[in-house]
Amino acid sequence: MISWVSSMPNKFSVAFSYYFKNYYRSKSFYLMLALIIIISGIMSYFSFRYQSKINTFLDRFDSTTITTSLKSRALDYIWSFVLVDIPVYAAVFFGSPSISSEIEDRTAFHIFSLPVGRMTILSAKYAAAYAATVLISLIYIILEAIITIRIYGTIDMSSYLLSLMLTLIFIASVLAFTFFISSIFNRNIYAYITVLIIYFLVFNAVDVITSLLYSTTSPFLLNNAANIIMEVFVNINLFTFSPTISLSPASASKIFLAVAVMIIYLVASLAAATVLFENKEAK
Amino acid sequence: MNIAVNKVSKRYGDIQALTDISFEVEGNGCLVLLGPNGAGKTTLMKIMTNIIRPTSGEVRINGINVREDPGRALASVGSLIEQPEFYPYITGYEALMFTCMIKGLSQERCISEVNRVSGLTHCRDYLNRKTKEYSRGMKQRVGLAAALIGNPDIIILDEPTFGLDPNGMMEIREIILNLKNVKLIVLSTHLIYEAELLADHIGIIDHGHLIHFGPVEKDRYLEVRGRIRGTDLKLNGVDIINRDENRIILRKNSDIENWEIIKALESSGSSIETFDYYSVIEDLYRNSVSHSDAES
Repeated sequence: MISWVSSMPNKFSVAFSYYFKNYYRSKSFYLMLALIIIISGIMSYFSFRYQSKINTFLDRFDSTTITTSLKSRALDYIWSFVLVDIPVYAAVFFGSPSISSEIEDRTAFHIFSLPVGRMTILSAKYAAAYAATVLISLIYIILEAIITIRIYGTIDMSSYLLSLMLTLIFIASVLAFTFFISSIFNRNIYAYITVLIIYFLVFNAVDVITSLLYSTTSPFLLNNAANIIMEVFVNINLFTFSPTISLSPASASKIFLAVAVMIIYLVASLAAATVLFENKEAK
Repeated sequence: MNIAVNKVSKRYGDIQALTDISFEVEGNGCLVLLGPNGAGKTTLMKIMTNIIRPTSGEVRINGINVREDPGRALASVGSLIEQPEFYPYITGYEALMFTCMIKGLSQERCISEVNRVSGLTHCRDYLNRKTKEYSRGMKQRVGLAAALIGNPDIIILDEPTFGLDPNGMMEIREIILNLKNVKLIVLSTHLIYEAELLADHIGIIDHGHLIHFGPVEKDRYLEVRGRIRGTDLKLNGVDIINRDENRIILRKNSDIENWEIIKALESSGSSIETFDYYSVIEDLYRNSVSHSDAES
């Protein structure tokens, strides 16, 4: 047992490299890459083309507070507004079939019979999917910084890095959630559909109901927690029936709450996925 | 080299796939699990390789419980279960390197090992192609190569010649014949002639029950065809298993040579047309399965 445990890091790195190759060579990866390049191109075009609209929007507020830094944060907010959904689609592509495909595509017969723990397989696969999703998202995030600096000559680096860190946490949690859903099913299509239904229908439905009843968003929903990625630039939330608009960044307590929600999703989803995967049978 | 299967049962919902299977094999040789389609052979092999868990009972490989410590138990095992599938965007070479490195071998050793097994199973020509482009036979050869990686002491093969062309089948059987002199091989098939060729031990499974288990004495059974004379025929050194006017089945119980048997038969007035080894496995299989069918 001791020798097996001590060899785990090595087996993990072998498995990680194997899975990462399979991810970055996949059609899903190139499709996401194409989409991200198109979206980044469109965002870059509109950032230059409609730069004046940001000034017009900000002119509604106290003109003494309008600085170049605020303008750059407003532009980053718009970029992040689009960014929030990118990890979701990437996670759907990479995470949803992660475990169900082992059964549907019958790769489990080879993998499960190897002298490696399923925990190592799961963690390596998760890390590989995470790396692929981050790689895709980073293209957009880096371009966001380049365009902001190009237009305004500056970027609010602390907000930008905070947003980046929150994006990385969000990717980890949404990917863990898709792994959990994938571990329930033996067919990829069920995993894809369930993730999309839960994230875009169930979460939104719960949010709308909460918003109608209590005039507030549901902080425990992952999609709402993800809004913090843009709210660290300017605290504008347009997703409720009583939208809040503030040109200040989100408060520390709001950030902590969002991070806590994401980490709870991450830990709970990974724990559930591990239990299900450990007991998965390739019949 | 030891595999001990102890009271293994497996249930899928209402279906009892395996019931109280127990046996033990040790040392080199080939155990063939024979049975009709759906008998439970593959289920048993999946339990032996930790692909599925038994509902009750346990499998120990070299004394280590597969369920409790699969990493150690399977370290000395190579396996090919059902039609092998690999990740689609990985090349065959990468799949074999991965299998090798997961087994704990160094990169340098893995390169030579992949070279060795790919030569043995004749899959070297297409190893650099992605596995999604492979035909069934190609996958089978790469799967077999993966099972042989690291020179494991125990090799578990589920219908290893499935999907191969006739030449491929002969090559794989030749490999198994060579390997069984130094390895413990567990192989499932529903082809009786394959079992006859390869088996040292035979386990016959039907309806999830192990209905026969034991060594195969295939070179001790003889079938003689022709005109068999002498109603009270007795031959020294052989038992008469079955006989009629045109055929007699004998089992050697001594070191008697075949020519001595022929001479004895001819001296009793019989005229011999053919003299061959009797298909004891086919006989065992027919008797066991028909008995099992009658009971069920």
